[in-house]
Amino acid sequence: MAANRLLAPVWFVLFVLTGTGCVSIPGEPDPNDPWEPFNRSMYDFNDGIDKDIIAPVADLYLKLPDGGRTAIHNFLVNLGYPTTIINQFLQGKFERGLEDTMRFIFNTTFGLLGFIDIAGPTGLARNQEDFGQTFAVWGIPQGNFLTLPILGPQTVRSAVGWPLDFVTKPLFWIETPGEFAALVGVNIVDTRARLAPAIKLRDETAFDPYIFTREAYLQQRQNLIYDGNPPVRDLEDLDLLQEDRLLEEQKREGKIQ
Amino acid sequence: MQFATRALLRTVAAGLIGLGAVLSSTAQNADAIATVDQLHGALLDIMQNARTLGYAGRRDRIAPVVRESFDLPFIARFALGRYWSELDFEERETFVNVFSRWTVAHYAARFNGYSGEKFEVVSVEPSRRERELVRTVLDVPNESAADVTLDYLLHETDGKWRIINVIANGVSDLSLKRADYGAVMKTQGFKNLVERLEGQVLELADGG
Repeated sequence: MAANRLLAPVWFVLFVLTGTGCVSIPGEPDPNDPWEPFNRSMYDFNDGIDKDIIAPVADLYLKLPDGGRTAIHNFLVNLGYPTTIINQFLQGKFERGLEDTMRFIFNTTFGLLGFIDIAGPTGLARNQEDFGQTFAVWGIPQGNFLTLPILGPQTVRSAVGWPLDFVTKPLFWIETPGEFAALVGVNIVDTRARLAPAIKLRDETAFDPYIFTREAYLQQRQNLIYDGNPPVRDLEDLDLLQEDRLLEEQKREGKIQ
Repeated sequence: MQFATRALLRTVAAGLIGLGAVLSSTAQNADAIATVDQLHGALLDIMQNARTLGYAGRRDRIAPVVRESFDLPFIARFALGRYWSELDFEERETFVNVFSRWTVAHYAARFNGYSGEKFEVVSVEPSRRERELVRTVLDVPNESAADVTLDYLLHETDGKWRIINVIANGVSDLSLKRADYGAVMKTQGFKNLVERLEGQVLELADGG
């Protein structure tokens, strides 16, 4: 049964891929996103499912009282926390790994299966680690940007890590299929509800929502990999800008053609 | 003796230069923080008085602060990337103008209510090329919503420290705009980008 749970998403992905026929768009591919035509068709597919099914349910979920939603969210985060703990250790962050282990134990017991985040009020930050981040810390390159059905934006690296993330969550090992399916469903809805403000911002301001999602996702991943302190990438871009400003001034002054 | 005096003088001079550097860098820090504080103060003001002010009131109140605390011409230029050099003088003026109004409209529309949020400056650190990075947190009291980290990158222009980028939870606003505007410029061109920005300014006013 465990094998089926892992293979089901794979079959689903293959099913969708054959269905959409991987359209190719003429023109030069963006070197930063060589699979853009494929990614865009997956993006549209996901967006359709989101608008038709997931977003309406998430809207209902957001109508629940704050306290109830927080408890459900806490429970789900706790249920996935072993993945974070394992990856803290794999990344050599032993202190954080121990803190997270304590958090998991306290929340599961005194926090009534995680519905209450006991450590929350102490100000101890909740961490989010996964195998994709661990691969990054180990120096494995991220590979191309990739959009997968349902799973959404990924990099090759994070997509390879995903099955490992899944099997290290207690959620994966829940035996009753009904309970398993229900929890996966609630997990998707809770994630969507959490993302609602960002998606709203995107829908209101982005001219090309696919590009906006891609850039935001890649930066957000970078932020997670560096635990909130990424090297500020656009400083380099800004420096480039200064250089081309200089170039322009020189042109104006007739120093170069 | 003469040698000792010279060494002493040299040490004192080095010390003074060092002190000067420290003092001027603290002054820079303080000026950068002052700009961010000024923006945050104005945002809290329109949030707390959102209802009575209405969209137009919020826009009019935040406009001078946004125009002063951001280096909007710089941001507009950066957001267009390599396409900027293809524009003539008039087009550049048009773009900076619509982009500035869009930024003001965006703040007026989004900061439209108050439920106890607080802005806190966490730290300030010098960044490359004499820029300053002011790290702040938007503390959201509602427990089902997470706090937001807001990092501001500032540089000095015309004797004033101005914001050139906002990085929210690690996502750079400037990079997003650059990628998004670049996509429009590539496929639809400058006129279309300006029209779409104008369209959003109107939509933001309607929605607020």
